[in-house]
Amino acid sequence: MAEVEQLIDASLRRLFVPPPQHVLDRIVDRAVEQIAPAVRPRIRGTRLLAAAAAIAAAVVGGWQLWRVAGPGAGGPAAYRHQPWRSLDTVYGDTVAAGFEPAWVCADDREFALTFKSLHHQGLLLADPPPQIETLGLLYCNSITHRTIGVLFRVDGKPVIVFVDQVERDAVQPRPFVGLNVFRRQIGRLVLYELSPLAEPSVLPLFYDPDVENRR
Amino acid sequence: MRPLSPDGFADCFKECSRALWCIAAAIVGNPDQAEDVIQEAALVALGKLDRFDPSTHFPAWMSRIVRYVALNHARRRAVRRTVPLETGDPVAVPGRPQVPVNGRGEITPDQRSFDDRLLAALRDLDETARACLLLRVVLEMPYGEISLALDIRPGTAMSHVCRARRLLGARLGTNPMKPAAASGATHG
Repeated sequence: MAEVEQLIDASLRRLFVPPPQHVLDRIVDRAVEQIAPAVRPRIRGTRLLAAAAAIAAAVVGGWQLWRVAGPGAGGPAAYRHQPWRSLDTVYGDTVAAGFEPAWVCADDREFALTFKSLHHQGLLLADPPPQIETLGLLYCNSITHRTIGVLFRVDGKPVIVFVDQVERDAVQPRPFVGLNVFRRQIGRLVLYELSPLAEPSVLPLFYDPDVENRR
Repeated sequence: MRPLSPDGFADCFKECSRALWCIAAAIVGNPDQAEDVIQEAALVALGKLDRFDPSTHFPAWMSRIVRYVALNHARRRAVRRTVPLETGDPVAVPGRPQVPVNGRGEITPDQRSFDDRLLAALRDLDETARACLLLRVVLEMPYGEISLALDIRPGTAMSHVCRARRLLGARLGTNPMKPAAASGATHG
């Protein structure tokens, strides 16, 4: 019976994954704007102040800042349910569309919280070497409908790391045409790097901030 | 009594939004409709802010509204439903891939079948039991917090979870990974 209960728990965690916190925040913000338009300017002002504080903190703390403007900055509304696509299809579609992220985190905290809220574990990137450019995030329905993709350019070549919960990853690796796939597990998360390169370039950069903080 | 401002409401809502989402998903039995439910519940609650006593527990008040809205959603959906749950095509489960494949493009009939049977079995549970179970399993929430969120006693929350697990285990336990015979699904 214990085995069945484990299966049930794993299945519930796979089927009922709450959306990222910023998506939930946006829901109530929209409701407030709809009910009380007068509060809108104040909310915007608060957001501007928060953004300024985040940027200042990033500069002081030496955080890695991500692009916060430009064509790839889709905002929280960029998250939506999508039809299922395989990892290599997502890679191909994203490259064909110009390799632009759907969402760009303002700082490391937001980056870590995105994974924490969606997959119950934070995730961060060590400072990348100069040949690696971090572009941003996309959401896709691939390993599950809550898979997160992190977009990079490594020596100018497009690389995507797909992240989901390891308990949902009951699959055997299979080579994709023209792409190499590399796998890494960090705590409860599984990461797949899809890359035209022969070696994993960005997988070693990821780490669990909670584990690092405990050291 | 000074009513909660819309900004204050948003702050309180954000603190418990994941729990509210779980409660909504548990009652409608479908994670994809939970966002619609909590959005509608937020609008309803904003219209009743003057009735909320800030000295009371916000998540309990808000969860009552979420449950009310979610039950209405579930009833509306039940009226529209024309295919029996047990004999319906499992592909019709909203928000799921239309083909039984995983992230590698491989077919995973057993797990998918188990998920479908679990979703069907969940619908046989009382909605409070479903909410307790999801808050406990998905959010790993302590029973004390579940009791506050759902305005029930901690012991009641615990017995709901235990009973739900036992019932689901009995329903799915004889051969947990065997596809349901009635589903008629082929994954070849």
